[in-house]
Amino acid sequence: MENRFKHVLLGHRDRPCFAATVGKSLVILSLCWTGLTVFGSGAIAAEAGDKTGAVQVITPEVKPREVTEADIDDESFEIGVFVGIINIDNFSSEPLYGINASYYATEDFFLQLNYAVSSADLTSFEELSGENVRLLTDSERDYTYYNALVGYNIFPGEVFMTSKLTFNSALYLVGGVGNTDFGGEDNFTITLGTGYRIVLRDWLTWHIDFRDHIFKSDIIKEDQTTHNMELSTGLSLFF
Amino acid sequence: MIRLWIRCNLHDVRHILCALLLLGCLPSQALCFDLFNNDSPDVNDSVFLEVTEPYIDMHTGPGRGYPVFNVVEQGETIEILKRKTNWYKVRSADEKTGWTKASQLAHTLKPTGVPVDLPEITHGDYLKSSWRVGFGAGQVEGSNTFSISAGYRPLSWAGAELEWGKIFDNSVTSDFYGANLLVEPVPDWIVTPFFTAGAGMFSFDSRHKVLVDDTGTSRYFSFGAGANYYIGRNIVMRGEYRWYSVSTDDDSVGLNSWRIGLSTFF
Repeated sequence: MENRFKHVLLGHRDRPCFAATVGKSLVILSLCWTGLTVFGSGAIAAEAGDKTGAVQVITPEVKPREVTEADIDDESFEIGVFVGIINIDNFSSEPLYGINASYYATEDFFLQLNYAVSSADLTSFEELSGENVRLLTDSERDYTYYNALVGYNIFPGEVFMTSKLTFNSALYLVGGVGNTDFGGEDNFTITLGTGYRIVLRDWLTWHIDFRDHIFKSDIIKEDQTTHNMELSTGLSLFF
Repeated sequence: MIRLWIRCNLHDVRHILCALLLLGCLPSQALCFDLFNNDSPDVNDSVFLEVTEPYIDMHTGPGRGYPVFNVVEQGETIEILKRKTNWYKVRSADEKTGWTKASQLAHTLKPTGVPVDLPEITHGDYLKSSWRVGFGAGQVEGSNTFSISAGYRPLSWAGAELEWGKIFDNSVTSDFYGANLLVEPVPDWIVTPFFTAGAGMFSFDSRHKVLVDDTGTSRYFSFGAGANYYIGRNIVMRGEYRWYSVSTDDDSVGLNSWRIGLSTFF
């Protein structure tokens, strides 16, 4: 454990930079706080021990922990956040914020759950017609979707950032179903898309996604198939 | 310069993450140090294996097509760092790290001389598995539907699950939630037929509130039949036909439905 503390406090000495210094300062402050908590509780325990007069020194039996195959770290789950732009059909293009979770079932296939929120602005018609004409109320303009997708890594590969810096990557396809809550209604939504993932570290990936959310809407006219294009980017952590 | 910047920032992210975790609570320290020492775990916590095959390949990535950049020869020792799907990240004695397919490690030995027994999920686990979660999509009387389910199977041939879903009709959107009993008489086949019986509640919400502002609930019971297809690892494909009997005010209505989906077990 001592080595790990050293690693935290002394690591990366050869690459000083401002943000790193701030980060490390935060870590040191946190460690101090944590230390105070630990020693504080220790002191209370010691006081209690003094009162009873029964201080016992225990020599712990140190047994080497047996490491088995089942202890190997399996990194199959990924959680992430993303931001982007969604072009809400008949309305406007708006910022979108979302979270997702993925499970990597095989080297080729993964399952993904997504949840994202946005809010539509006025249509051109509403803009031109003045303040008295509104197709939706403010709350009905909230655009929220969730979906469950299956993904396939169609073109796995590597990217060469410099002659010595290489990251693994993949171009993938996704497809699935979900719900879009827009205009005060739930709408059955088919989502199709493609994305590109760069694996920055074994535990950290960066991705760009382009997705089409297709659903039938009757806000403007009856049974109109709308295509809502999303362009987003995000970071994910493996665990 | 760019390389330096990227490195610097990746480390900052870790530092800041750790600071937040440390401030949050004490137990998170373990996670924090895992983040720092991701690629260099404590020597005592690693699995070391001796290669008994003539050689094993080390690839640059955990997937199809990644080139072989190093070879570990018979008699040498490798350290297992982590696993992603059916690939293992290994470190050779000369400090090179790369990815090796699980099948290549099948004939390695532990320091005790015992053959390694790497965890592998197979069809056998499906037979004894207990928990399952899944999602599916399909149609109820021509209207789109999707649902998610979570279940427990105490017996190899029978289990129970909870289900929640939505049906999107032109004029009505309904949520439904219920419980199903599943009987899978021959689970050891790759394609296994099953039968379901369930009960639950539909909750209706009118889509055209200007015309009809009608919401309400109805009870249902259902019977179904379908098949599970074991795809591989812990993924099962599920296809099902189901008949619902929905009770209305003074009568009951029969609804036909089909759905197809994926579930995972653990």
